[in-house]
Amino acid sequence: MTAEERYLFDLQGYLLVRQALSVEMLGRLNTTINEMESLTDAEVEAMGIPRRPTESDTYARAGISSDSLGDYTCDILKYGAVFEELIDWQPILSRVDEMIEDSYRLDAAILMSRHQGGAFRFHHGYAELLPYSEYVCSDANFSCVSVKISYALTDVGVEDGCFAVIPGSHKSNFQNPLVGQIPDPDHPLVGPIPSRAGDAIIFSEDLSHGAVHNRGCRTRRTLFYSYAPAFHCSWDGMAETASGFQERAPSRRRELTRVSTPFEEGIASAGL
Amino acid sequence: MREKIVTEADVFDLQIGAEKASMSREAKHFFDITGYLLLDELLTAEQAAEAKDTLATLLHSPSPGIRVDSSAPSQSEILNVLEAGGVFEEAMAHDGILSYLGSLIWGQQFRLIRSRGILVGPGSRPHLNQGGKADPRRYTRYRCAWEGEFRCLMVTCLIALSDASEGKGAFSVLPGSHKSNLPHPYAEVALEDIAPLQEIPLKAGSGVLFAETLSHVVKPPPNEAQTWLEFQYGPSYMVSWPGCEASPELLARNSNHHERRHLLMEPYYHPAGSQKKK
Repeated sequence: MTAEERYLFDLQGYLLVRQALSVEMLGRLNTTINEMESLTDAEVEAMGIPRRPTESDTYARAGISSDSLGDYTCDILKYGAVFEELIDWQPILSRVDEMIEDSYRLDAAILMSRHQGGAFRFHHGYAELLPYSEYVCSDANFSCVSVKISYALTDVGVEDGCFAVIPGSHKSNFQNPLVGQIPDPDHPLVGPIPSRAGDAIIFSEDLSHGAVHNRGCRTRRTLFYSYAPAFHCSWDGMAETASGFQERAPSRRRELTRVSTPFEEGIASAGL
Repeated sequence: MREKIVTEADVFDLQIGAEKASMSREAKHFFDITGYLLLDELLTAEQAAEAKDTLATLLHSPSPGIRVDSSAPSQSEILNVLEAGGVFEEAMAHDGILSYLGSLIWGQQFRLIRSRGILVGPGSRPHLNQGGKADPRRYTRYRCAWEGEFRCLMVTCLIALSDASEGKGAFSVLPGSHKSNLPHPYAEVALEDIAPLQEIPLKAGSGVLFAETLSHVVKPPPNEAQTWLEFQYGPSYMVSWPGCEASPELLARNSNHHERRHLLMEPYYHPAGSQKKK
């Protein structure tokens, strides 16, 4: 990370990395997702990658799609292919290395497809004291507990329901009065983050975040990859990999999905 | 009158169970200041003797799922003793321990991370761990906010199975070191020369519950070996210590015990069925 990136991450709770994905990588990701979307529900279910339609109004508000798929999420690592390459995507992980600092793992990787009318409610913020998302910076060193990356696979303007945050809320000592609300891009506290396809937003999970109302007609296609210290479990199997992964993956990629010694660091210093 | 503060748990029904935690203000204050709590008579004298005898047997004949490590001088560790059942299972979920975990960790979202027996003999060479910010073990982080909202990542319960009085292999701590901003300067200092090191005498069956990041040590006993039983608890999403994953037999034995079953659950971030809109 550059000095400016470190400053901005601490100040705002997120970093926008322009063109983190190459044009070639972006093309392969979208082509693969197009292939997946051409499969029937039964076919993807049989492959272990069922599409989970957005039905409840808990966090996400479902949009209305012109195709039959609608808003959905999917645990894409079980599909294998190009999604595995993002596990240790160096332009991003070189920054995550500094943000989490210690040995860490991938604890979730999902695809989100959002349509017109969709949105995502504000959640999280430092004052919630969620132990699994704590933002920590001490003596100019980060040791965040959860860092997530939102890879934009399509252009997403404010009108398309872009990612939105409350900048600085990863350090807020007060409960977020906007919790559970759809982010209003005109609210003085809200920072909508429009992205171009290939951009990545790296953010502390302690940052209050959501997505503004998609008033456009474009589909917002996003990949979320989540990293946490090695002693964390995965989110409901969202980091499960496809058959043959252990044999074909390079060592760093394997280690990020299955850390063999989650408690090793510092054992020697224990008092007993 | 102050306005009601709406939290995420209110809006999304996270079912963390923080409202079920009960710990007196005095105990919270004591724990925050010192980093530990004394738990008298967790086990009866008979239970302590039974646990001690079982550990002595396991040391030489470990049963399946239990691992013995005697590589440290005059000290042995018997990992995953819970698999031996009996008094260990009872102690793991003792009311006197669980009544504090909800407040110290994260509501009802806590689980057992590790269980072990420890035999410390004369001639052992323990050293005082670094605590607070200098503790390199990130999974031991201590946090306390707004009038006693604790978020300890690892809480340890150490139970003496034989009397460990002052000068006879007592458990010892640097009170307050769980919040130390600086590393302690005693890495090369003999334990008896560390002035602020405070011995905590314990009768067999009594224990101490402490933030794992508190600087602590068991002093070598002068004569007979001391036997200890240790349980470590963490938030629900913390994975088990390698070698301490519950076996199907252990899970089956405890399937009808609500508290034990809760402690042995697979790690998770939020309870199944939570995260609904209220």
